[in-house]
Amino acid sequence: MTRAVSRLRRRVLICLAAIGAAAALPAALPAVLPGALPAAMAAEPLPSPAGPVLLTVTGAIAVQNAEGAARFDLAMLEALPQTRFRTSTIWTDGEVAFTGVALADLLARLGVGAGMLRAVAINDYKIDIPVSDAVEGGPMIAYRIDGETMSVRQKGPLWVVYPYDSKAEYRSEIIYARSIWQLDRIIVE
Amino acid sequence: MPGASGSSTASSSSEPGAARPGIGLALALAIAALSITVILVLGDRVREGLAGLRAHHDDNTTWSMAQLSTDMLRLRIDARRAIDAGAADLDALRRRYDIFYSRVGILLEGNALDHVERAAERAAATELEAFRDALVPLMDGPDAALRAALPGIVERLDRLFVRARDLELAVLAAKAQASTEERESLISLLLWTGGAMLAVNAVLIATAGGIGFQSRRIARQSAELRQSAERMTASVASAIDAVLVADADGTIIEYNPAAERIFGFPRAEAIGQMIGELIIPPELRAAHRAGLARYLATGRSDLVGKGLHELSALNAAGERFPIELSIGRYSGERGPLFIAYIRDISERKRIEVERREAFERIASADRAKSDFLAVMSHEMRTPVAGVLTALDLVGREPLGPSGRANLERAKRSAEILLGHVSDVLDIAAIDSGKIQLSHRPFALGAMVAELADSLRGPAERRGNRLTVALDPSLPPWVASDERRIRQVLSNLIGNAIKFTTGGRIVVALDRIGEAEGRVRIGFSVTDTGIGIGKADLPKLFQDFVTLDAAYSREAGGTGLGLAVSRRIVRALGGEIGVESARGAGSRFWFRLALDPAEPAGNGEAVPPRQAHAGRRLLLVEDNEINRELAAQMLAEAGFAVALAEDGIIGLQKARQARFDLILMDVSMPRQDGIETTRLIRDPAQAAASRESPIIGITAHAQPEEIERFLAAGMDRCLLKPLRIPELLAAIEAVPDRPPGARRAEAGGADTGGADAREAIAGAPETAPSGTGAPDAGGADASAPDTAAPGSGVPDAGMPGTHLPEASAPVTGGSDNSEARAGPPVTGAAGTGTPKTGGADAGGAEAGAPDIAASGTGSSDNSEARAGPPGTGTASTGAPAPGGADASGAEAGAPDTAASGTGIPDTGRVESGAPDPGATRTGGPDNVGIETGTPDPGASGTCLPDASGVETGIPEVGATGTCAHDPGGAGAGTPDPDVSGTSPPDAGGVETGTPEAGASGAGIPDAGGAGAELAKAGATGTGGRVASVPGTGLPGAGATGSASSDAVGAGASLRAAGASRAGIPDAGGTGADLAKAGAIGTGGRDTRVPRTGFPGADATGTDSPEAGASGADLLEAGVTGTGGPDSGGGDIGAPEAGAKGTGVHEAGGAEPPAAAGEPSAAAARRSGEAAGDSMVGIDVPQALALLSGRSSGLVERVLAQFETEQDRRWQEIRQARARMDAPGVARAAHALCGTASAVGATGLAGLMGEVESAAKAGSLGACDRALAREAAARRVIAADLGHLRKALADIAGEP
Repeated sequence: MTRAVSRLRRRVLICLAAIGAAAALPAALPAVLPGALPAAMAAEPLPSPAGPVLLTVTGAIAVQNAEGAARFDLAMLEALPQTRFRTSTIWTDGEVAFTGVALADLLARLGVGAGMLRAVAINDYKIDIPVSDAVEGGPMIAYRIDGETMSVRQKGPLWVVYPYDSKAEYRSEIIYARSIWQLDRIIVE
Repeated sequence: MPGASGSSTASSSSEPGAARPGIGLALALAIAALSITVILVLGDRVREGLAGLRAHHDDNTTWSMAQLSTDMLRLRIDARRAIDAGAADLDALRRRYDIFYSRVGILLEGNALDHVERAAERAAATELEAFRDALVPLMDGPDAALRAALPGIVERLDRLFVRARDLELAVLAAKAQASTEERESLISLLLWTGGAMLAVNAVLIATAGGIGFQSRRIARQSAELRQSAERMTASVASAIDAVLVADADGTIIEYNPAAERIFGFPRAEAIGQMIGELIIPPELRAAHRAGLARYLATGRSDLVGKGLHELSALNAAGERFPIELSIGRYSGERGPLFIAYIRDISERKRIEVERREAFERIASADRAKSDFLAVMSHEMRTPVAGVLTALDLVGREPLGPSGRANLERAKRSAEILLGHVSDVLDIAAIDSGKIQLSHRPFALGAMVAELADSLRGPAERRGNRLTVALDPSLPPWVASDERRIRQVLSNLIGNAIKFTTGGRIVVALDRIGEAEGRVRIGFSVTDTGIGIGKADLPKLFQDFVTLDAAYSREAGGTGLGLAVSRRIVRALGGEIGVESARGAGSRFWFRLALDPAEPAGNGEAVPPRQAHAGRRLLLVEDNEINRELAAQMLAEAGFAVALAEDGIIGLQKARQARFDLILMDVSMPRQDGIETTRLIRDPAQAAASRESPIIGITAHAQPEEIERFLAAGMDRCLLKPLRIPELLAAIEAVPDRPPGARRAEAGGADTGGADAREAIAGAPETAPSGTGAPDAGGADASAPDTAAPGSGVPDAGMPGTHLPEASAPVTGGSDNSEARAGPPVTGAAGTGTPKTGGADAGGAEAGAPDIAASGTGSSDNSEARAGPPGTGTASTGAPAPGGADASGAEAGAPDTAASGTGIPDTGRVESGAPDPGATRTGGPDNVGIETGTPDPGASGTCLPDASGVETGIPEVGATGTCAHDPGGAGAGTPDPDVSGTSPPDAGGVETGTPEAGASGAGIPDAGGAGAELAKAGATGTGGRVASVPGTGLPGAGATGSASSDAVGAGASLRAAGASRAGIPDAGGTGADLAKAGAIGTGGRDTRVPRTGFPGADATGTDSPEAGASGADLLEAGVTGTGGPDSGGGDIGAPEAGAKGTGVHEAGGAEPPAAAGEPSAAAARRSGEAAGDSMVGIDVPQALALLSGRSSGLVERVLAQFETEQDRRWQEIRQARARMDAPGVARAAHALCGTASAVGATGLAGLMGEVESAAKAGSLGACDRALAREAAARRVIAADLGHLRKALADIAGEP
């Protein structure tokens, strides 16, 4: 009899715990930790840009094509592994298709494994993006939207976008702040 | 959560302990589930709200809006610079413009303006967009144009800046407002959620509390259960009886220490064993298995729950021992469990056996004692019997004085010796509980007086005066064991005599109280003798106590007398004691509670000796001396004794002849009395004496033996020695066991035999009376054997008529009487059917009274007459062809006359209402009508004197009928006034209510009978029947043949008659006859009860009941026969009839009777002889009617009768001369009634006949009657003389 009671009691407690856990779940689910960065392509030398330079990366980078900097024109960026995803954004109407280079791929090309990226826009907007954000399925530096290149008037030519629809974490204020458009320079620190 | 709540539900249902609090718990769980659901819903919304907080759908609007004015300012700065510095910086301006362009796009395309709703702001936004778009051609155009437009651009920027600023602020304010609303909504949601959480918590707390309470309760219960289980275990363990628990397979699962002790198996070994193999003996195992299987299959068992059973069991040593077992059942987890309580009862069994053995030893010793006593009694009684009997006989011879004295001494000694033996036997019988107490009515005072009389002699010889003092309030009759009470009294009085010399002895009986319908009576015997010392008093009632040895030896006494008395009194439910002082006399007393009783039977005791004159008795006795002595004694008592040396010879004789009584010794060589009795009673033996009373004689006095004798068929049992008074008493008592009872079993065939006995009894008596035909008397006296058949004639008639089928065998009988029995039957057969044959005979007689007279007496005569009836019929002109019809016709005819006669013409005349009388006289039914009619007028006219009385009673009609015969009855009327004032014809006198007459005269039943008959339409007949039982018969017969109702009437008549002593039975007979339709036959003879028989017999053929009535008749006959007046045998008395028969027999036997064709002359002659005597007065009957009345009344009645007789005869003669049949009938009817009142049954019968004949229009009967007038009057005159003398004797007058 007493055993039965204690069993019952235990079940009730488990029940309560489960209720608590369920209530706490949305807040308690932390971001899954990013994996290690690959640094394979870093060795290959970076060609020089032939067209207008769209992006200049400076700081702690492994490859350069200018004095202390890696400069990319559109062709160079397009030569890098291409990434595509469709997502809605708070700045556009409906879903749009972005094409670009994954931040992870770019950093891998530049041999950046860790640290913080200071991204600067043409309009002098600056924001820090941790390298840890550059994961597979993570943000990219988009150069086409719906297959078209982007002018400055259209937040181009480069726009850091996250796949906002893929997870809630990407729909936070911080991520929105990191979604820098009219990207011009990246300083790796 | 649903999963969690589901599992908790499951756990509650799977827990038996939670079942009781289940409802509360379920409720709590339901509330919890509901709350949880609410929380989940709210929680989800909270989560959504939180997610909304975190995931901004809009960018940092504040920032974006601020950037608008920034980008405008920077564009203005660059434009200003371009104006100032030349064209070099236009690219920078263009870039700045692109940024501005992008900013405005963001502002317009994003949701920043969602919150802004006012038109002003919208307009501002539109203005911005228009400005931006307007610049596009310039910016994309050549530098010169752009440069030229720059100042205008700056100016517009300045203007627009204010508008942009306002737009920013408006958006910010809206944004702040939206944020606030969003927060408040979230807060509200959180509050709700918190509330729900609180509610859930409350429910959870309550549930937890409930669970806690339940769990405490469960804990308490489980503690109780544990304690109970412990108690159980302890009680099983400490039980004195073995306790075994087995499961449904019979496997032992519990086995207590007592079981270890009883069975010897250790617990560890027993547990798990099959009970059937461990302790059940092999032979019971199959039954055990079957019982178990049956119980499991059907739930029925002989053992389980059925209390204690005794069985045997095996112990560890393999020994079998008795056990007492009780099995109960209860439910275990896996099927039923059986719990057996087993007790070792070896010790008890052993004690039982010992006790039984001890008891058997004692019983056997006791039996040995009883056997010894029985043997001793036998061995002593037999020789003493011989001594006493021999002394009795010696005493009858002449002896000298000293011889006589010695003889007396010897007799006294022998009697004392016999008394001792009896005392010892009494003690043995009472102590062994075998005393048999009778419970019969007896006259208490008379018994005491008689006892005192018998002891007065001895008392006076010692100079004592013995007196009796009876309390007047004593019930005259009580029911108890007379013999035992007499024995006690006798003992006490005897003691008093012994111990008193020259003193007084007083026997007193007092009524001392009543209890439960019984009367307590104190008996005391007080003497003035030597008295008894105080010290001796307590010993007095002990066994074998004699206080003065020397004296007692002289006085005689075993000392058992008081011991016996004490036992008897106790057995009777009373108490006994003594008060005495030495020298002051003694008073012995006892008290009994006795039932008051009605007088038994006929109050008139029949003097024994005469009652047995001529009765045929068979004595079966092997001891020669005893046989001779007894035979001599019996012969002196009047019996005709036949002897048999042993049972075989006895059986032979009993088979051949019908004896009135058989005395049967019990122990005899070859075939003992028991076996002989059994054989005689055995229907297969067809013994002639099969129905005869058998009295056993034995020296074996053991009560259970006596029972055996009775079971074999003996009626009574007497102890040797045989002494006449005892024998006579026993014979008297035999009818206590009514022959009818046995007869009923045996069927109608037996009836004849029984009747025969009666007939025999009656007939011989005539002989002694001497008034009858001398031949008959002579015959009887000289050769009883011969006489018996002779006297048996009448009954001979009966068997014949009785059993027509049996006629041949009966005829073949060795007995003469039987031989004669044949004829009637043959005759009957000759005439037609046996039944009618019997009836015809009667009918013939009815038709021809004179012939009837001759024939009536003897049955064979009736046979002879059976022929004549035809003639009679012819003469009467009755239409019926057969003999039977003839009688019917005759009977019927008289009826007509009867109707005439039925109404006392005198009455009519006197009443002056001739019309009704005349009218009624005409129709045969008239009388019936009149009589039956309640109309008092009719009766009134009938009997003026009586009218008053009679009218009052509704039955008066009936009464009226009776009125005539009551005329007779009236004679008996006790009321002197009535009789005094009455006119000469008694008819008026008797007037009283019929019932009154009935009670007074005894005939009255007749009145009742008459009424019945009348009802039945047997007109008037009843009257006659009533008045004279015999007379009634013809009428009754007629009725019988006419309507079945008559039978009923007859039946009731009989019943009425039966209740009276003596005569009334005759009436009864009449009734029976009526039934039988044996018309007339009885009628005339009837006044002799025997005469009735033929009729009854005829009935017998019809129905067994008739046989029974025959039996009744028999008794009546006996009574009548036994009348105190021995002289009653003369005319009119029943005996007379018998005598007549006898006479006729004698006559008939000589010549032609054998041939069956008696000459008419012979028949007539003998018939007249008999007939004359038959018209006389039945003196015993008359005595029964008249004795006890005042002599004045009796004399008046008799005188009236004489007057009436004269007058009526005269009337008859006159009416006859006028050919006035109704007149004849009236007169005959009146005389009939008057005659019956004084017991002139013969005359009444004759008159009844005349009345019947006259009513039927036949004056032939009238002529025949008139022809006998002279003889009848002569005989009646003589009878009256006898009667007067007898009455005087009875009254004690000189």
